[in-house]
Amino acid sequence: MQRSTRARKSPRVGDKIYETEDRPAESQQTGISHPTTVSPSSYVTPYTPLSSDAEEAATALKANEPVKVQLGAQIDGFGTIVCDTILVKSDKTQHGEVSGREADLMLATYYANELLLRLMIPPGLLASGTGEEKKKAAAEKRPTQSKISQMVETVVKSYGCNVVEGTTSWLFERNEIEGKKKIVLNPPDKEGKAEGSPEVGEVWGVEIGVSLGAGKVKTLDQRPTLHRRTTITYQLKRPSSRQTLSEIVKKFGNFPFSLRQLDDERAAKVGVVECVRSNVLRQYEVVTDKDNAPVARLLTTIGEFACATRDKLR
Amino acid sequence: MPPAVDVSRYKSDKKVTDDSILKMLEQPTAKPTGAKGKNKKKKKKAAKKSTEEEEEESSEEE
Repeated sequence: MQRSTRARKSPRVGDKIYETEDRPAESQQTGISHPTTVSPSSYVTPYTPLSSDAEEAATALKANEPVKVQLGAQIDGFGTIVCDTILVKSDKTQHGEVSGREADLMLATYYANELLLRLMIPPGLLASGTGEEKKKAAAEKRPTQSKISQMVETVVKSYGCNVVEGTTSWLFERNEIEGKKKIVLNPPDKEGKAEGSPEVGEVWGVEIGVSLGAGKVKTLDQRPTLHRRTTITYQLKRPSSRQTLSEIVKKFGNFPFSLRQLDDERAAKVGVVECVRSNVLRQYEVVTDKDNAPVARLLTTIGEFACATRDKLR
Repeated sequence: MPPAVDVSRYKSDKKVTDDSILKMLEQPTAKPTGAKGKNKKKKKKAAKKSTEEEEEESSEEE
């Protein structure tokens, strides 16, 4: 990714690529399960600034900063989401090599993610050998959320980094990316208990967030632009609110979307106000690292299948 | 399939030292397919060859 690319421009390119790719059969509904978001440096929440918000639209990427690119697609309501972190090119980069704290951050995130993916596998799923050996492997105790969190933090701290508090992996269900189960890393005090463990046949969105700072977060006083439909029904009073909600349900269902994806961005900014106030829409607050320290994130959609291979999951 | 991450380009003086974690990182995340795939191809070729031989024999008899 080049320096000075506007954080607003790349998401449009990402969504456009989805629209031009080969699509499955007409009988199957397809769509975006997560808008393309480009989140610079200390941003934790997927960032999707609006053209009509001039100051934010002018946000430029800087050399050597970590940038999180997140996007997703869905077929028939079964969604996948991915997030990768890349470093913006720098003149100081020698032969493509990265050193210093940026290298620590990228390695911490990579190895923490690799460990977390393995901790998500139900015991015995990949066991080989005799029937007895497989049974023994399947009977092994699965790690608790506390154990998972502790092990991941050990990896991250090895590189002088910290896990972003409240980083959550969710069970994916049909038309739902925040299902009945979740695993929370570095949970904040009052919330964030795990609910359930991965089982065979399930699909999970596995997330890791790592900070060069202490891992604490803060909410910025910026306009939230990422929203999703809730299960709450409410008779909206304003015609603009009803029109906006109708467009949202038709285009995105229960999946998250950016206000920039609606036909009229300016009208959308007005239309969502009542929807959010009445809890018909949930807005994702803009959250960043408390110390403005650089943050890296990875999000992997995995399937826990007994006979699956890497090839079949794609 | 996306290319694997090239971690060798990140130069750090720090590393993971916990043995239990290092052992876990060596474990696979999926079952291997290489050997099974080759066997299937061989079986398919053998089955195809024997079918072709049977067809040749039956056409000769006619």
